[in-house]
Amino acid sequence: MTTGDPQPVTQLLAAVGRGNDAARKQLWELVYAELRAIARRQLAIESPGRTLQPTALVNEVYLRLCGCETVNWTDRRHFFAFAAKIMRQIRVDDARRRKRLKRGGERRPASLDAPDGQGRALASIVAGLDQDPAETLALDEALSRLEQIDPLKAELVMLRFHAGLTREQIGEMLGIAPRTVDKEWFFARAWLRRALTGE
Amino acid sequence: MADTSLWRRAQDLFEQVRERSVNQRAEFLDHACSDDAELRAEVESLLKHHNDAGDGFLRPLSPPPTLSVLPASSQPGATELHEHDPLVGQTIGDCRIDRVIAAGGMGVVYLAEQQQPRRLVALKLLRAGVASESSLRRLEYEAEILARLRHPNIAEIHEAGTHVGLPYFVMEYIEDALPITEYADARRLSTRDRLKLIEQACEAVHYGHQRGVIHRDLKPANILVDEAGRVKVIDFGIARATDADIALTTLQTETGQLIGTLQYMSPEQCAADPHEIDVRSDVYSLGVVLYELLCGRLPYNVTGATLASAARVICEQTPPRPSSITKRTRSASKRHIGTRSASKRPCSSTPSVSERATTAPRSEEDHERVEPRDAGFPLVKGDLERIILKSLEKDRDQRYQSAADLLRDIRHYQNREPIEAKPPNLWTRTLRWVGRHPAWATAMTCTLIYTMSIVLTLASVWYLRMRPHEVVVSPGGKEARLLAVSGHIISDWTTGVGAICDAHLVEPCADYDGGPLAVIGFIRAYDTSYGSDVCAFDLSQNAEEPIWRGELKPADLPKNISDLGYQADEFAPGIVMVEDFFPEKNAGSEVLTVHKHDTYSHCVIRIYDINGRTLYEVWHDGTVGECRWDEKSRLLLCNGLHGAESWADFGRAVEKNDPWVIYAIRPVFNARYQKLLRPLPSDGDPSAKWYRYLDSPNIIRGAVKSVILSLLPPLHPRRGHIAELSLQFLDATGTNLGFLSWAIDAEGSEAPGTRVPTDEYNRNRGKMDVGDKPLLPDPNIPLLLHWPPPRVDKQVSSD
Repeated sequence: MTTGDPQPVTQLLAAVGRGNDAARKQLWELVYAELRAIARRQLAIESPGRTLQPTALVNEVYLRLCGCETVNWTDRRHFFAFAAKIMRQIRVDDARRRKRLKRGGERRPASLDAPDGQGRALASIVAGLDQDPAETLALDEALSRLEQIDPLKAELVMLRFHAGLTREQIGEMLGIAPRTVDKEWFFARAWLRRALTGE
Repeated sequence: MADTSLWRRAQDLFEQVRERSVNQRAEFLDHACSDDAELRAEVESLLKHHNDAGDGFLRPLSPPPTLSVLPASSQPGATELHEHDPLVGQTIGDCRIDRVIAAGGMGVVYLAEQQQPRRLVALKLLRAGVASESSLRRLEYEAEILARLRHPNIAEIHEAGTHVGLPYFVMEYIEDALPITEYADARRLSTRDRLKLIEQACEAVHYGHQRGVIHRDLKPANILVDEAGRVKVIDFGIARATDADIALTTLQTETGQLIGTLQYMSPEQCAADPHEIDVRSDVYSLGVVLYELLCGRLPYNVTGATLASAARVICEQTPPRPSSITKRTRSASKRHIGTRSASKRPCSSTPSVSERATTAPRSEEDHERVEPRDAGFPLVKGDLERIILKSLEKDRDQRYQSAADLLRDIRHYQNREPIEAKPPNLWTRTLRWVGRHPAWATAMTCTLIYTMSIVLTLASVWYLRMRPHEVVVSPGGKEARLLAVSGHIISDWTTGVGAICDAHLVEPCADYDGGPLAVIGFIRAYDTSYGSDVCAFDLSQNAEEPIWRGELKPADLPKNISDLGYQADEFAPGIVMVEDFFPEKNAGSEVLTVHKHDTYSHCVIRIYDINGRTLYEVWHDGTVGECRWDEKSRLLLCNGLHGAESWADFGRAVEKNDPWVIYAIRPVFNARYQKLLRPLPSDGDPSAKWYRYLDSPNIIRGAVKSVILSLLPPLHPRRGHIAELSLQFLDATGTNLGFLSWAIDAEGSEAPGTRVPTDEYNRNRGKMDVGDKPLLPDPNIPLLLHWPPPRVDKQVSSD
């Protein structure tokens, strides 16, 4: 289900684009499973210090699921928007898990076989997940608030921060000029920082 | 905050203030929100957070937040940050940072001053953090190897380490250096001088290879040339040491920038498998630089392409041959290069590759100065083209196997010596094409096979049924049939009266542009228009109408013949023969005919070319029963009876038999003798090469009343035999008494030991021998005698 026929992914993406919730759930599972598979493989062959950049990871997932030959920008755009949400979710899940561990007062070694191991394994290969879990959760909350006030800015932050896209890519994806991306980004960043520091 | 109008106004104002310098901001705010304290408070608060956030907050690709001192490549206002780079003035290791030289995807390069020893250095601080102990050890290990690379053409790495978790390298600072292509263009170097630069680069790269270091990122920006014209390869092995291998860096950097780097990457690097990269990947990159240096453009134009398609182009497309690059395409690509470089400007909003690191900071003017490329690149062809294409082979095994091999061939070229690179043969090129277009190749092969099978079927049907194979004369000579291989009758010629003596097929030759000819000899076929002529029919045209005729007109008769009272129409063709009588002088085969008189022994031998022109003609007093052409000796052998009158001239009445004669003629090209052949070579033209007669009086005796001499092909041509003769003995009733055969050589002499009697002959010997004189086969008694026969006394001959 994770690899092989690229067609379902393309179809799912289109369905997600039309707002189909069942398709969203299915695609989510598909992508998450693929991310885990990559994480497992990376851990098996690489030193633990090796990290994958989010864009690289998402690209790899995308190529794996959709096939190299059928790079269609519309699909890709959907996919990246989607992937950004997943990366955000991964961060949040990871932060919650670590917070829980901290409360439990002990650090269990990350194991692929442990029930929580897969998520942790994934987190350990995605750069930037070593942040303070509290900060990550606070950011998530602030981002949710921003989403309500200005959805475009929230989306932009996810694409940039969670999916690691460049301003040009984001501009192309959202159909706005790179300059406008900057404008929105700086404002959103300042706003989020203020929200986080609670001033 | 939920107030949308405040939100929008705050955003607009925030943007306007942000664009102003710090000391202008307060004044601007005073002016802009003179009456709106809430708005001002909101904007000021956000601005404070904007300033505090710096680059680290929410920084994608997330190094640890405390280390986010580096400007992000994709950050707007990156230049601004260069100037205010927080590291300027600080110390890393024992180097004091002076200023930013360049910034790019991989990191920032600073000009720094080292304290011990005191010197100017380039310090490259990488963007990606070192995440673990093992990576750090790895970096140290690799740095140690890199530091041992000491070569005049490699920028030395003095030191490596980490600064707050980020790896840095302290390198030799090369002042006023230019990328190799820009240097060559700025100085308008000749091809020879450009090659000298590449030679230095090859030496450096090979030196690195010998010490186990692959560069992995060779491109003009990493091959610098200093003021003195010395090549300095920079960033040797950095990609490897920091683990920032192409596969990963590619995806995180800007597409435009990546494409710039991608252009120089080998197909195996584009396939993003770090394990596949070896020294030959560097050879490939050197090849691309060489291509750009000599042709003024890159082998592939992938501007505006997506990553995947650009990589595919590099993996699959064959680069245009340098010799195919005309001035026109070159100037077109100049623009392309221009845009490419423009996108690399460190100062523009699109970030620069700027791995060119150790160069002096490059301003807009720098670019403008070197940008215009001289279109006057000499055409690259021949050996030089082969060198370039060999380094650009997609298949590593087809490339130069090392930078030293490439260097050697360049030097061979420089010294005008033969190079080792060979042009790919047609087979290799075909295979490559098939590899690139498998579907086309399959379709074409299928179509080809299909077409060929149809063509073959039709051709074999045509060949079997329609292609003239032979012309045969029916028994009785009333009909000649043109047959195909299958025996199918393609056409036929008939005659009610008279007969057809002989027929042959003549294949067309250079002198004739029609189809094959059927040459048929008609004897008094007066019910047709062919009469007593040899007719040649072109089988590709109307087979009814001859294209030429071999006929005897009254004017053709020599005077002494017509004086005897002979008429032209009394002659008719008796023999038609097709041979190549004049291999040197006339193309293809010729047609020989013998027209014989219907009652007497006179005849005329003629040779026609394929267009019916008479090439040779000779008359003879004697019949010709058989002819044989001996190719090797170039002799036409004729076997027949000598003319009775001539024979009688010698005073010999040989009972009821005319004497058998056998003689050899060497046809002379373009000689038309309208006179009789002379038997002796000394008689003058036209004369036979030799002329012999059968010793009939000695043979025709006892029970033998007549003999028949036959001319056959030689059994042993290699022994010098040109014919096999066979003599049949007949008694008074015409009953066969046996055969005796022997071979003759080119002089007409009997070949010793070849005389063989048949069993019948041996059985009938008693009847043939006279008294105790066993005549035959006594090899001491010759059967053929030299012409002329001895004169015999009239008295003796009368009894």
